[in-house]
Amino acid sequence: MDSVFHKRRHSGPPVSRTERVFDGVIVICTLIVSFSMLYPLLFVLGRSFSSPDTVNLSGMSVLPKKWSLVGYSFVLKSSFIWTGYLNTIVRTLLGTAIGLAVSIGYAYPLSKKNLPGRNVLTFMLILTMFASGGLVPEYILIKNLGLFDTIWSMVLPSAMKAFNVVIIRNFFMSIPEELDEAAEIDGCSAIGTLFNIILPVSTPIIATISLWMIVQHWNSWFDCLLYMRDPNRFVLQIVLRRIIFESSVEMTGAVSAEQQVSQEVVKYATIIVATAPILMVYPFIQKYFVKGIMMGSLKG
Amino acid sequence: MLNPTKAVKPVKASGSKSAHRIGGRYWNKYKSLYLLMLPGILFLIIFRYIPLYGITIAFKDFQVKKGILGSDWVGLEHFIYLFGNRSFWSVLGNTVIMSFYKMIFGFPAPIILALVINELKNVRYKKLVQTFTYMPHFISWVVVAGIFLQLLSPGTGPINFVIKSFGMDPVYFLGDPRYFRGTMVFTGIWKSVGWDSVIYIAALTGIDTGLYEAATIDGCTRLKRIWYITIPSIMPIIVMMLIMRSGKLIEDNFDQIFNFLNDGVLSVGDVISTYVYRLGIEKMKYSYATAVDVFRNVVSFVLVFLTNTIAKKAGEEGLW
Amino acid sequence: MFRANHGTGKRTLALLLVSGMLAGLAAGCSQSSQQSSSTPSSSSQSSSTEPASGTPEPENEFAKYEPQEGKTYTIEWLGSHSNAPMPDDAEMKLYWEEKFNVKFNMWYIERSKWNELLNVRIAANEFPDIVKTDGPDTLRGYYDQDMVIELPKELLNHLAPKIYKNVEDVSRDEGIDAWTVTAIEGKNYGIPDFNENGRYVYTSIWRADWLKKVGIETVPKTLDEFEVAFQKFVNEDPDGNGKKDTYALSSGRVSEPFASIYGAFGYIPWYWSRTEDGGIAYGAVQPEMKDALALLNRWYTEGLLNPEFITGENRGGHWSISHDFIEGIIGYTNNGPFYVNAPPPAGGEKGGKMYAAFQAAHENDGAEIVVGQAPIGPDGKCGSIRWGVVTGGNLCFSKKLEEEPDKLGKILQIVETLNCDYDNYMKAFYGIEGKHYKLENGEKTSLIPDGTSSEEFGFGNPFIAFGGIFKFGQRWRPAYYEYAEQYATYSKNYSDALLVSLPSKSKYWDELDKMQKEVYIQIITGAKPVEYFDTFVENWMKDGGEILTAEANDWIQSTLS
Repeated sequence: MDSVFHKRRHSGPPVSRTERVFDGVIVICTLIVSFSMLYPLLFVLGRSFSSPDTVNLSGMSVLPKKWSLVGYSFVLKSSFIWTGYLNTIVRTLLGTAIGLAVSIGYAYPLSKKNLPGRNVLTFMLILTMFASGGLVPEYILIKNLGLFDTIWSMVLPSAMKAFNVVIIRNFFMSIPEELDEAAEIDGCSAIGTLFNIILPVSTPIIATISLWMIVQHWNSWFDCLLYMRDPNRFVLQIVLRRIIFESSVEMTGAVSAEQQVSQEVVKYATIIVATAPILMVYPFIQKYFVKGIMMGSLKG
Repeated sequence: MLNPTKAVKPVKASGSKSAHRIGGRYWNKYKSLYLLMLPGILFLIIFRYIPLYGITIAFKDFQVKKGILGSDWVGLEHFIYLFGNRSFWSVLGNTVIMSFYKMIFGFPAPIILALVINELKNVRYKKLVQTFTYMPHFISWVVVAGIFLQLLSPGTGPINFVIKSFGMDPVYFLGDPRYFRGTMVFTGIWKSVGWDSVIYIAALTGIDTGLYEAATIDGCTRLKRIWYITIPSIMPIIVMMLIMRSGKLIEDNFDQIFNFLNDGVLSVGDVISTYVYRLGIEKMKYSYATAVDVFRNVVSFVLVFLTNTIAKKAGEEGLW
Repeated sequence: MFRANHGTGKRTLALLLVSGMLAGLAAGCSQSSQQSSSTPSSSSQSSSTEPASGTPEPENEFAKYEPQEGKTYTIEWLGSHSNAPMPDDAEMKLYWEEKFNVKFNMWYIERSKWNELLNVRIAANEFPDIVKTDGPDTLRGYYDQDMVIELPKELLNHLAPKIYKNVEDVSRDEGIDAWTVTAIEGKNYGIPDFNENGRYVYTSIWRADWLKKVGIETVPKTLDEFEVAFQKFVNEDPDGNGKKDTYALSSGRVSEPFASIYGAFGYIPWYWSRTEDGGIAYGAVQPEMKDALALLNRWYTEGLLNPEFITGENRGGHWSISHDFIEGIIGYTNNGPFYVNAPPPAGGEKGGKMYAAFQAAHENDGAEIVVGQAPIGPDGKCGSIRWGVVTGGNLCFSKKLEEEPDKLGKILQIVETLNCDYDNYMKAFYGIEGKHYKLENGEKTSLIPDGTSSEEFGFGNPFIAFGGIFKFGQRWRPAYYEYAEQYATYSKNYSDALLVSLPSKSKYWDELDKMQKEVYIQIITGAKPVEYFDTFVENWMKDGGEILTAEANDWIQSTLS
């Protein structure tokens, strides 16, 4: 787990006084920054555990005035919430897997400077960053492809982002060519080189791009609203949005008095229910940020 | 162009057998590379290039019954209307000014955060800081705006409590046009700095540790090591992000501005997206909305093109 | 979005109107003198009695609209905003399908993204057979895209006479020709929708304990009394903490600041109002508003206004909740429609949203709310925001029905059955009594499980495509309306009198609106002198306001002719 690089650094000359001051300063700075950024989450968390009638009254405090689980019990009893979770997880996993495969597949050849047609293929990619036909043709396309009410309508149109491909490509390009060449001499195919040599030293960038894709799929809902008709196929975000809107219907609506009052709590509980799983992804991704150290040592 | 055989040149002119062998090896190599790209190429054609005909809506009087392709051309009518609109120029100005501030202050922020995190020695603490700083990214602007409304309140907010305790007048950060842009820049950084720093943190892990060792032995200070080793090592990714970012000068964050905007700061805070949102009151303006998009994309392309050219002149790896 | 409350009711309209007006007069509010009921009703009467021109025998012409017996129609249905998708086998949906011998294809368009989602589908040439729109602008958009079918008034009267009569009744009672909402180029393209809550004005609330503390026995009525109370709220330490840290008022809903104060001068700045000479004028540029701004400016300088009024007194949550009021920063607010401030039982089990929030914050500390009226101004004028019964929302139908006139007839029959009969209405909106809800002492309790939505059982908003104003709510929820009549009686001139989309609006409105909002704040805070108001009016007129005013008056004239 622990990075080699820090241990080595500690084994250098004895730590001077200025070094210690320097360390102290950055620790204090990061403490302040971290707290300020942790605050909104605690704020939402506190309110999500608040009793419905006091949720608006706590001012800046993160602690609820009165504790209650009403918000969570309401959210977790909602219809379609578990199918929503399942659909979101499936979508996220499938979408990320396909997205990574397609993006890496496009990026790797582009990192070869001598690939014929490289410029055209690059330009073809970059252009999509600035030219988009808009929602209407995309809707018609999905309709004509017969993708309505299938998971592919959410996974395919967003599979490859030019930005991600460029980032991956540039990272591949920064890998010393000798590695590639050595593999070729050993008789590795291009694909073999990619899997055996390139990808293992690219874990930090792959982890980053995965994180981006996972979060993007986790938070997406507009495409689902547009292309899905069957409520059993709705992703979590839509189910949760429905809960928020439903509880914000005015008095004359078909909503009971308790629901009316609990609206705010339900809203905060909903945010936690939607966000908690995705927040847990990051620490998992983090561990790949140290393994990339391999590359540096290979380079030397 | 895409046919690999054409592009392959025999390495050696003489010795047809070996040339064939080597050429064949290249051919095979490229063939598999193109095969690797094939899903991506298909994706681009189907999902990115086929729908492009939709851009023509910006130049047409779009009639649903006639379809996008069958609608009548009106040339630049929608653009003339757009550019002839006084509101458009004022929101464009506001957008560019705010994006410019966000670029100047917001672009370096995640880099600095990444560098600071990189200097932390305790691995567990380091991971905690990373996780905490990235959290605000996941809290929606509605909630964040509500929190800042309380934090920044001139009468009851803690920030102004501190300001007042220094004997200064309280500042109406959200209701005073002089402070609004600054507040937007700050809240924008606050919310996204951790998330944006992830890519730099990833890049920092790729730095050759041998360089640090050598530098330490040479007696370099921490700051010098950061300046001469760390920053140059992640320079390619910084340049890359800067090029991408330059295209965003004409973009704004709708969710952020929409949730903070109020009547007191319209003169500085109203931006393209909030303007387009209000246009939505008159529904079904497909052509006009597409024209705004096309305009934005063209400007953004020009900006990225220029930055990319400059970066390449400076010897950095560009987008293309 | 929050206006989409669908009225319920029965025909005791005239009586209620009279009683409402009496209550309003008794409370000291002057009813606007221009609500001449003669003109619009005469126009609607004339149009109703007018025979369809060029048709010798209307009966024959309408014959093709008769639904065919035994034919099962499939209807693409998009009623009011649904909160959740309705499953194909939802209980009450099947009930209605059997009853009407139809198949409903229910569209689910999420309300927060209504326009985006629907417009994409429309652009792909998909359009529901029946659709509810939020205003004349949207209807006009559909019309321009050739999506909606003409619905001659005579035809509507033939196929759905109850709905037709309802529109006529409301037009007469409100003094507004509601048909203008759905009129395009002299023809009718839909059915206007109404909001029953829109009859009533925003209510004002005071801190009763503060009033008592500063020695004011009765709730202030006139603007002068308001000012006295406001000054005491600021200077006499009503919260008794020994610090001068209280204000009198802030802005209410941030997009609707100081409505009740402006109302005392005769206009709501952001509404169009009918003028004495029968025309229409924009509130913000009326000379009376200069006096209102001068007063607000003085109050600002004297410290009566919370200087944070620009960002409003609400800090998240439902828009009607005034955190400034709850936290004891201000002592008066005019924050929302009557039901948010209503105590139980009128406001539901715990009272309206604002009432409940206030009670929860001040359980045993003696803080109390008292409901008051908007202040009466120097010229006897008085009022606050009133959404209006005629909201501009409407129901329209697909152009494709031209090929299936009998289906249009069927749809209109269904709409009438669901909306114009108490039992059917309750079933369509709330489900079956005893199974999906129960009624006790005017309190409705939902019996469907927590976390499920009414749509899963096939009732709720979607089938109530057309709210109507039949006062059905009076039957099961009398307290709610009694409270409204008592505290939120209304002056008609305080709702927006402009019910159409002006041709040049898109060209000028955005700039004018911004100009108004900025100048108003600048004058109140003293950044610009009160005299600047005259320059503002000049600029406003010059930059398109004059053209829009002329267009609005053309429209008013056309509704009268």
